Amino acid sequence: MIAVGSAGAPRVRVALREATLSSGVRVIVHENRQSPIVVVRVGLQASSSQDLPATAGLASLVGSGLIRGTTTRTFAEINATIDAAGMSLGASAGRHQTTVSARCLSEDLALALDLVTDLIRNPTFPDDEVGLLLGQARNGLRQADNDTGSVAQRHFRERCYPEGHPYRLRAHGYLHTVDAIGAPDLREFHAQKYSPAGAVIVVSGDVAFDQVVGALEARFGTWSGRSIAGGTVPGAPAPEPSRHDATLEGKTQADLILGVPCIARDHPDFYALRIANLVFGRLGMMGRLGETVREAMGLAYGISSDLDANVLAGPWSVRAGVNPKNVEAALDAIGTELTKLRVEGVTEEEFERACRFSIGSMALHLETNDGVAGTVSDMVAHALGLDYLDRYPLIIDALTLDEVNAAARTHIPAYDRVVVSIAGPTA
Amino acid sequence: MTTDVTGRMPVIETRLANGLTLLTQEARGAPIATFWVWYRVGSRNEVPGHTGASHWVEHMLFKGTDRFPKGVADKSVAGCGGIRNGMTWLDYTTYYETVPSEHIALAVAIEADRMENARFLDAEVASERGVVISEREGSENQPGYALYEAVTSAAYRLHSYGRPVVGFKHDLRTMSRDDLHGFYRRHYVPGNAVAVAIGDFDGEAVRELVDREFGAIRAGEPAIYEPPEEPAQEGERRVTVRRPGPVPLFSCVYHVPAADHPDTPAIWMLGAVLGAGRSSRLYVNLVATGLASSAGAGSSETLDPHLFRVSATVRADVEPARVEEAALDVVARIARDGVADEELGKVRRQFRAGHVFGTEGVTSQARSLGSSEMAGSWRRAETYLEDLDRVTTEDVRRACATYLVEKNRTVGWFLPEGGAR
Repeated sequence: MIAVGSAGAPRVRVALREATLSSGVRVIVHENRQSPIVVVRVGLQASSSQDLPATAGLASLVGSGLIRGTTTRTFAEINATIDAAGMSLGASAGRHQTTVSARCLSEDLALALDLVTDLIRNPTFPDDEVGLLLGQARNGLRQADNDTGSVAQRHFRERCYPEGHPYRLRAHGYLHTVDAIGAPDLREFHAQKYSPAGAVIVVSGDVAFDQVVGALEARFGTWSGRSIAGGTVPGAPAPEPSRHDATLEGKTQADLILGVPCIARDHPDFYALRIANLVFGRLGMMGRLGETVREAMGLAYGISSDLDANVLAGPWSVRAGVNPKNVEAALDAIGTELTKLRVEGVTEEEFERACRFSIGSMALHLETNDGVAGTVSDMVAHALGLDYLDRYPLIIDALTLDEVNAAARTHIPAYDRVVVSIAGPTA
Repeated sequence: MTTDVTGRMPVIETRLANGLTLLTQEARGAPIATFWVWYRVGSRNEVPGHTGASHWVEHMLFKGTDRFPKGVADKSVAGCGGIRNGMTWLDYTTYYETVPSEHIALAVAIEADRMENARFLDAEVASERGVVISEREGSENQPGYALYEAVTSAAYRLHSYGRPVVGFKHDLRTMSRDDLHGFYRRHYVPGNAVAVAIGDFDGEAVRELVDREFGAIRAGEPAIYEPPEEPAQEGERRVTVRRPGPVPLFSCVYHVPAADHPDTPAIWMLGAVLGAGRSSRLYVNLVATGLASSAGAGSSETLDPHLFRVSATVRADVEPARVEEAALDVVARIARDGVADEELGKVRRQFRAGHVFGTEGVTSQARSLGSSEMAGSWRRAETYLEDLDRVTTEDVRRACATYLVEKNRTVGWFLPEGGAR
């Protein structure tokens, strides 16, 4: 039994049990009999980090293509089955894993497991269905290339990360790369990258541990496949500070993003830096940034900061949507807050509030089966251990104000060192 | 005390002496509680020149009071691990906090206080003018929003549902502090509000808590505003938005009755037959055929007659007219041939599963209960599955043949300019 909470914080009990299938696949189960609902999440090692620059978007297309037909079911038959049961079933490729997930009424669990297994093990990527999928993907990319936030993000990453770094590429790819991808590419990627090696199945909901493990053994126990060799990832040296302005016609608002590559999830400063980031651009009405740029100056509806600490060092960034005539004023105000954070640090009061939020909000994250499954999948992806929910409050309680301010000074860049990317209409 | 099929405790409705309605429901699944206050005021209550007033007032209620000066409520809720927000829609404005259940008293205190003590300082109104304009401009960036606003406006001649919830930019530039404060005073009284509390608490204790915090608030007289009745549409209307953009977007809207109309359950079933899931009629005929990259349909739960929407994102290599023809043909076939028993059975199952999934979180439960109450009665959120069970295939065909007809529709297109198809 694992408990979340500390003195003064609510205790949430999330009992996790683990088994390993004959194929080596890990299974982690949370029995929750509150509602007749089950959520299944399968995490696989295949990911967009394995995309090459010339085929960016391939992992994402493979993830989306799993459902397009299997050796025993057509896409239309899968859709009819899903809708008839009122369940949701989907797959998507992230930076470091592909997730196949289902949510169903508990009476439909066997059917949901059949479908999840079929998608992962037996997809056929039929030519006609892949053709339709590619057409939909191109439409989505055209829309992304017309979206100020997406365009600003694309140029930001291209200036933060060097050629060959997986975080430089857009996970969904680009029109020219998707144009070069066909059904044989999807089949080959699946054959090479989908494997029980490193696969983890998380189940949360109205299930009995022994029964669900038995059901998964029957479906995944004989699955075989080779380990996926990790490629060499180039380092991400601190980028040269720069500013890029992209013009998009037909827009009213500009989206801006500024930041730098920061730290990985396993960096010792992660928790301290996350507290600093909460104070800076997230907590309450979007932290200090919200208090100045939005509340005091009225320049933006949306402004926040984000620490994307992943398997590799993801970016720390600030994003805002502002009228083009207010871009310079918004950048100045963000710069002032950056300097203040680095020089003065966060206050004792801010520090304590952010720590209380970090612990207290766990109860909200773990309220639903989706929340539990997502949290546990994240714990597994970052090798945090199944006792993490128990240790988490202790980790936060052990932080000091000095550690938080030291982390902010070390990892939050001076304003003259950031990469700035703006996309919008001309002022 | 009995529970329903999902194991939930019953909803208890009570009323304070000053007119505040309170709905409480115990939910012991997780140590969390959510507290909402719903006001019967939204863009429906706005007159030309003051569009966006409800939404802007919602923003002003985050600007502090004497008891909770600006930022204090945000920080207090965050400090206990909770979340809070506000939302404005056609028929309502609502505020909520979801917190670890031992902190529900904080949520109740914040909501009671801002029902009558929001400050509306001149400087705060001035800075928030920039924020709400920025929110509108963020929406304007999206081609889909531009089409939504244009087609909704074209569908209405008189009723306030035709105007945007966020407001027109001209009105956001010209409304004064006194306009907003007067709007707040007229609509934010207990008799115009419904509080909803769901969570891991003792219901009686929460009812006493709400009575303590809200009981002293003056009753006031809720402002009565009945929007002009929208005359029946007598022929197709068309509207086109042209600007630089990525792909054509199609939206076709039809006037349909209010939530309490007997045809509403059949209209909801029709929406699901057309647009719910990848086995739906629109997906099969528009997306699976390569004409569109997405398609959908459905209507909202509203106090007055509103719109049923059929929409699609056109594939860049497809002539837009083909999508309109295909979508309207899908609708016409249901009006002519009806739907199969199995199709209706599938849709019932989708609604039932969706209902069970919706009972997992207290926040989503409170939202469902409150939004139904704002459109007539919270009991609809509890009984709609039974209403849907009574719908027949002929009911669905008749609803389609009655409402989804040429003279009742407004067809909207977003067409990219500059060859950026």
